[in-house]
Amino acid sequence: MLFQFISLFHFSPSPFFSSMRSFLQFGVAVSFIGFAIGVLKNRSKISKLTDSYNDLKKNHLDLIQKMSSEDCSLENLNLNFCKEITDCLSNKKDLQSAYDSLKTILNYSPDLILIKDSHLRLIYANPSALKIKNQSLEEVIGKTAIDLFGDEGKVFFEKDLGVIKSKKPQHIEEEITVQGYGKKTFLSNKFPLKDLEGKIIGLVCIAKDITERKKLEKELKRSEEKYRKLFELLPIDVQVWDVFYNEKKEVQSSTLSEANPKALKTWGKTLKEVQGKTLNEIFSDHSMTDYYRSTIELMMKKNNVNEIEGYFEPLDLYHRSISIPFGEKFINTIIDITQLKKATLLAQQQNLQLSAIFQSVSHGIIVFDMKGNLILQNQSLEKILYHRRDDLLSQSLHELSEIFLVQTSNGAKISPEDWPVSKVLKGQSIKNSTIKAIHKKTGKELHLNLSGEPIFGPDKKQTHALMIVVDITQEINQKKRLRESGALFSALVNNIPQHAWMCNSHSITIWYNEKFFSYTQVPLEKLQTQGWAILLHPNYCESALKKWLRHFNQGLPWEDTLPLRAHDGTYRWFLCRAHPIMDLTGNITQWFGTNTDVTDQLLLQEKLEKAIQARAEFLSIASHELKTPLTSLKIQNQLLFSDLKAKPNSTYSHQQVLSIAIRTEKQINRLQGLVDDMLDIARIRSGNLPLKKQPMSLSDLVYEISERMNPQFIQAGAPIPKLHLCLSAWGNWDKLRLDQVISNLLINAIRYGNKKPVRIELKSDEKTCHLIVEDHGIGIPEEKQNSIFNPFERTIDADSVSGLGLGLFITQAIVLAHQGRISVKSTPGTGSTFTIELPQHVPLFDPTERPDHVF
Amino acid sequence: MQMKSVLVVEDDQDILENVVIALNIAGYPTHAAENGKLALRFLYQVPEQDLPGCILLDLMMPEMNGFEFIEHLQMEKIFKIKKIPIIIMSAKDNLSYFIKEKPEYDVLKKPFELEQLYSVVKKYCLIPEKIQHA
Repeated sequence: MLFQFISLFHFSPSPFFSSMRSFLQFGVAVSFIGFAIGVLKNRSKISKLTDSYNDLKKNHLDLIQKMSSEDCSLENLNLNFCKEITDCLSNKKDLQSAYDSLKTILNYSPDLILIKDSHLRLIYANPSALKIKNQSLEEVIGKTAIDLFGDEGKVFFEKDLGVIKSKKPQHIEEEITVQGYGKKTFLSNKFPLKDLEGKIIGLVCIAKDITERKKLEKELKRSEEKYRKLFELLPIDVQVWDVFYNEKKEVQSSTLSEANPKALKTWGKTLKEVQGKTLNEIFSDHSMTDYYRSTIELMMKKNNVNEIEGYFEPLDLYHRSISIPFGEKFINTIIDITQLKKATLLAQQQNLQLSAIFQSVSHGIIVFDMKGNLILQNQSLEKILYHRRDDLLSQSLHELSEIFLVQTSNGAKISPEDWPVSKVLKGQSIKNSTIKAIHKKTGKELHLNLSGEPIFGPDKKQTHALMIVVDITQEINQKKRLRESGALFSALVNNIPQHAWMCNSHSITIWYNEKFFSYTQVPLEKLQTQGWAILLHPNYCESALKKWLRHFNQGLPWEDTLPLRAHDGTYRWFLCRAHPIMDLTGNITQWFGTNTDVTDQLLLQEKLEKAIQARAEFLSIASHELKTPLTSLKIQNQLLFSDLKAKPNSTYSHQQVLSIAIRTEKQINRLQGLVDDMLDIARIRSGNLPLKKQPMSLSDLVYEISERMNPQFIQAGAPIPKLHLCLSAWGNWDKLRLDQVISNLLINAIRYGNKKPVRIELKSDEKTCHLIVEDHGIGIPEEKQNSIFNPFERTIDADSVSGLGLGLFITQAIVLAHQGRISVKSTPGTGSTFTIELPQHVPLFDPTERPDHVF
Repeated sequence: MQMKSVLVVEDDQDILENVVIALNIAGYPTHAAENGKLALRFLYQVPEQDLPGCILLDLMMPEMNGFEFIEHLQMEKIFKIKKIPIIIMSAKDNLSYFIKEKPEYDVLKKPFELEQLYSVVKKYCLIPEKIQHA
């Protein structure tokens, strides 16, 4: 049947069929071919078709008959057509089949097929066309488009008219309102029908419904626009490469087909500069070229989508490329992930830093999860707890309590429920909570300072408990030691004999010891407000403060000897010392000072100095005194010597020799006296003045001495002293020493008596003898009266009076050695009275037997 | 040949006595005074032609000591008295200061040699014939 159908085209040379052929060539053929293939595919359908074809043949014949006999109008309208039909009838069989085929085609064609006469009145419309208005063929025959479609039809009419006038086929897109659907678009192929002479006799319109295609096209356009926009606006680089292969199917070269603005921007080029160019032409940089080439080659070989991350060093660009091989094209998208990468790197670095910090901080850090299990800890914690990491990790609080006994700093046990971490697990913050942890195995004690913070997740629910652990064992122990040493210190400073004090860096006294207070009785507050200068003697205040401030400002140890006032208003000398106390950085925070009472020491020193001076003076005097008799002796001896030399034969009379002997004896006695005195001094000084005690009468001794010394009184121009002697003055005494005492007093009375009468009185009561020697001489100045008994003292200037100046000292020493006393009363210019008191002893015989002597 | 006299001022009786004897033996007329006061009194009383050729002066004396006597003499208005040479005669150790201050004074340190006494006195009083012949 196909053969027949095709032969129909070959067979018929009519313009209609030639037109049909061109029509068939134009796309519509697709539907015919589809139809034919459908027939081939289904034999049953073919047999049906054969049947209907036979029916059609019959009908056609009937129609021809009718057309020839009755239907004149049709015949009139197209005589040529009739003629043709007539010709065809001659070849009835072929024509019949062609007609049947045509009818089938017309009836079954989904396209609208309309045949119009030269006045554009419808001659034929196939069922598809009739469907537009759901009309029967009879209803539309003979009507124009305007008749059928009104205003809409006018357009068709004009177009049809155009075809007829131009006598050329036209393809026109038209829109028709279809009943029950709305507007549909049709692609109409209109061509004129010509008779054999070429006269136009009508028009055929074959309209194909392209509504769907049109829609699709529109959508396609729209989506294409969308993708173009997307392509252009994408913030990622998109490059499309055309890839060329060689014969071995290897990638030979590639040229850029498209690149979106972002990609161009990355390269810094315009589209013109790069489109259609090869890699080498685009990039001056070899590394870029190589990179792209290798990527493209690899991708094209693999032929699948691939994702690569890389780094373009020349552009300092981290990127993620998604490459898609696409037929002979290659699409490469590049996302700039530099920021992301850098952020990631930074985050990694920060993470590393954080972890380093976490591990290296000196504080221990532990993290507990909400179940109370230890899930994280750093190295410092291990060091603090002397525990390897594994031992504690993932341990619960109760398990930890098996390892450590936790106590308060006072030693009270704390159960795990009350541990600081338990509070943190309940959402509390803990700051500086101090506990004592005892490692049960080793018994090691740890003092820990704990701080804790709950950690919250993004949903604001607590997720962890973070604990910071600081080992304060050493501090605690140090504090303990410090407290002990502090107690020791205060015990020390309160018991030392010195005053101790401390002042701060503003020179304000902040502390002093009990000794200090008991001496001054000045409250600390008063000292702080008025300054320590209130303790100083006004005469020393200014210079002392000056010196102190100089040392204080320079931070130098200070030492000064100052008179400080006691609470009773008296002053004593103190050696004041202060040392700066520095902190670890070398700043002076405090001064610690002591005041040592040196008053006695100073007095002693003064005494010592005086004694040294006195000794030097004594040596000078002693040598002077010794030289005096020596001078006499020397002159006497040299005179004798020179006389003997000058007169070798002279003889000396007895009188002359006696005189020389007496004078020599006198000087020798003087020398002996001096030496005795000096020996006495040495004995007294060493506390060893031997006494040869014997019962004796003091009155006898006094009488004896005064008798002996009368010539001296007379020689000095003074009257002989008057004696008032009590004879009962008996005792156990050293006679020679007392002789010395009385002689001394009388010599002094002669020396200083100013030639006035001297009175000697001896009194006695039961226990004591009183010997009184009273002169009326120059007297002793009041300030000297206390010191005349000191060694080397003279009441008058040393150049005026000769003598050792030891007399009264030796006198006193002898009296004291007898358990007696010596005293003086004197008024300058009036005279002096010396009184010696000696303890009296029971006499061996009755002294009343002898009457008192009164001279 | 006329010999000038010597005034000896000395509180120690023994020394005074001995010095006077020694000078007398040598032929010098002598006057003695026990302290400065008496010496001054003597100088004012004695006729001008009998003023001593020199004064032998002890320093440590009661009433008026040697230093005071020197001060008095230096203040003296009578030139002849003021100009009498003074020979210090002392057992004091620390005379160096005094010697430095008054280098014009001769000093006899006790105990002195007889020869020293004579040679000093000889400077101011005429040399007695007796000694020369001896």
